[in-house]
Amino acid sequence: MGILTGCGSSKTATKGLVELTIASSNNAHGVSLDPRIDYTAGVPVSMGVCETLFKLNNETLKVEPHLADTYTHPDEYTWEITLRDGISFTSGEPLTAEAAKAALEYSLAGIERLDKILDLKSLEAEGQVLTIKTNSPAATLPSLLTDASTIIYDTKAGSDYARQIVGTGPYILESMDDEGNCELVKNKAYWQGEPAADLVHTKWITNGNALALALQSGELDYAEIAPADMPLFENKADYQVTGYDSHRTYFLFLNPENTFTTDPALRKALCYSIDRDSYIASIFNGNGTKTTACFPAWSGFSADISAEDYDLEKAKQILSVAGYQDSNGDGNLEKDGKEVSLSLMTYAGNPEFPVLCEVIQDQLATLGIHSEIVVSDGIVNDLKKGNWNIATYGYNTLSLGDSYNFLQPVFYTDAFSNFTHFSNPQVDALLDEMKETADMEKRKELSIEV
Amino acid sequence: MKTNRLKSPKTQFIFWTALVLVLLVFAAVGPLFLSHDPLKVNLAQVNLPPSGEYPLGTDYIGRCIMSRLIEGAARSIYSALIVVGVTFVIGTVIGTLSGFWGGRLDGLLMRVVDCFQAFPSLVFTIAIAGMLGPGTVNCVIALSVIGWTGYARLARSQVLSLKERTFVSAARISGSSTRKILVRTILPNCLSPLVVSASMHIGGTILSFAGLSFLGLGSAPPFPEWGTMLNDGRQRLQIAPWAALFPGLAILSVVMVMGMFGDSLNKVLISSKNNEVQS
Repeated sequence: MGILTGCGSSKTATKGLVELTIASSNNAHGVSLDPRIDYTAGVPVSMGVCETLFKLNNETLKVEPHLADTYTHPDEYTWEITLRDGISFTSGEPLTAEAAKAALEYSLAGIERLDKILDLKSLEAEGQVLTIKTNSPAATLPSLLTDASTIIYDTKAGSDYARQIVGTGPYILESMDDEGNCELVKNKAYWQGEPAADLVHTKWITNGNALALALQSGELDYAEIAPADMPLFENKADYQVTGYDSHRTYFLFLNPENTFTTDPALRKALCYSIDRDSYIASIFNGNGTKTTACFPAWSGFSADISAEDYDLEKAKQILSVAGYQDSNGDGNLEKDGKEVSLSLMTYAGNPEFPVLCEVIQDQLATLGIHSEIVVSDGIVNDLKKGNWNIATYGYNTLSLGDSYNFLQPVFYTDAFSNFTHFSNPQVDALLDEMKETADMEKRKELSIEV
Repeated sequence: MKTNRLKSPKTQFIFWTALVLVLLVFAAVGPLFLSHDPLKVNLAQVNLPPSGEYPLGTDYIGRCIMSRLIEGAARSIYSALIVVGVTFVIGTVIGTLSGFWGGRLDGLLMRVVDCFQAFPSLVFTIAIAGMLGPGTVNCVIALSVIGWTGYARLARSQVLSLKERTFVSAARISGSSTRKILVRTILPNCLSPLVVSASMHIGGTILSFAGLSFLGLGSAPPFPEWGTMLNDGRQRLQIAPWAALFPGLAILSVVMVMGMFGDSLNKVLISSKNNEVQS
């Protein structure tokens, strides 16, 4: 669940202009807008400067044409996308297939992740029709074109993408300073109608505390705040709080290839010692939903999966049956004469994770299991090194509205995000099939089976 | 001359020494008398304000702040004392040798000291602690590596002025060995400014130590350290101000007591020296 907070009144300047100041905190790669750097394009999208050919409807999880008008899929390897007529970039340049092709070609040259999934053979432009050909069947191409990295921008408007990007969105980027603070003005000719606010200032603030303070002082009109700061804004007349169900799912990985967690009995006992309910209630201030599956049930991508409920007694029982004993009376369990000690790996990028680890560390201590928290500076690389027992990680499991973008990297043999080295030929086959299946119902069935 | 007894350096020194001793004893035995387990997480009692049950409130995962402060006192204070002790000994030995022998050894050692002092000490400490990784022991090492240079310089200058004095020449003429001259004649005479300097450094070192743990370079969770507690509290300053207030007050008061102690020691030594000169 994400939480957004806004001040009741927005500032109105003397000329009767509606001005808004909002916080931006999603620039993952420092201050640059260059769409050739992966995940950077999320910034112009969230600021309303650039748009994509397709858009994901967050409620129905359906992919809808956006800058695209209609599309056809004549054969397995080809998609013909007709762009909307009459849209112009804010530079005045009309949006044509040629312009879209130029933007996609520039961006994709730098984004290996997307380039691999798309597996492009060629891009052809004729009038408003963009023809995309792929080397392998791409059943879900429109869904991939909702990825922010496939934004369409005017490549003729200048090449200093680090500072300036011209799109078709409701706002025009006037300037960006060295700290990443941007000045936006409205695009009066926006194709979906004139936007409400005349001027928007975005402030680059990442610290949750600073965000809350800036909102309280009136420096900001709108911000996305951390669950821990919710009590400051909830039920206050000056603030309007809106939340939305996100697909961000928090995971604890157990490493089956390192020291003590190679023992299935210990892993089972650990599963019984995870108290999801109280984590949500206290650490996330009630902003979250307990789940035992990777996807919310309403999405249809996962069936009810039963998981171990919090039960310390059961965990203790499993441990004693499996031969874990505290024979030297130091309060810590031993197995085959060795003191059990686990490494709990986490990262500070998500402020709730280190707190969660401290709680888990204490709960493991009551089981008689010693653990050490390691706060990683580069979590992906450290997870790949494999010298951890338990790790925290978060995924947006339904990114682009489909479970495949999560299942493939996490569960396919030797895939990018497969930190536990899970490998199952049947799962690999199902994922291969999913890649080539366009029918959504069929995809959901495959997803459930995985 | 009429002197106010309460203001006499000696009385002040006794007062502050007693206070420091009380603090040290408290830090050492306090953890034996805790009302709550300082490591016990209780998610049902998160961010509670001070109450009868929890005199200083609870933190973000329901741990008793008072118990954690008392538990953390030993780490925070004794680690600083260890740092001061280690740097004092290393610095004094290096400085004394450097000053006594002079020549190339002196040149070399003093250039090393120059190198260390060329960087702002806190930045250098953070760099070393960062390289070693988080942990109380690593913080002690980082602070010790940086801290000895001041003592070395001071000891060297003391030795330089002492070694030309007549009583040193007298000791040499009477056939004392170099070692004996160093240990029996020179060291005792240059010790008092060094001791004052050390006592003044205790407070500063506690502060540096708290600073390092504030930055996340201190002890690994769940073990409490004042700086870490302050940092944890800072992030929830508006929701649970007590979580930052009390560790902050603890650091402030201990650093002040240590500072006053160093000050009073200095005054006592100065007044006794003045008396010596007069007599």
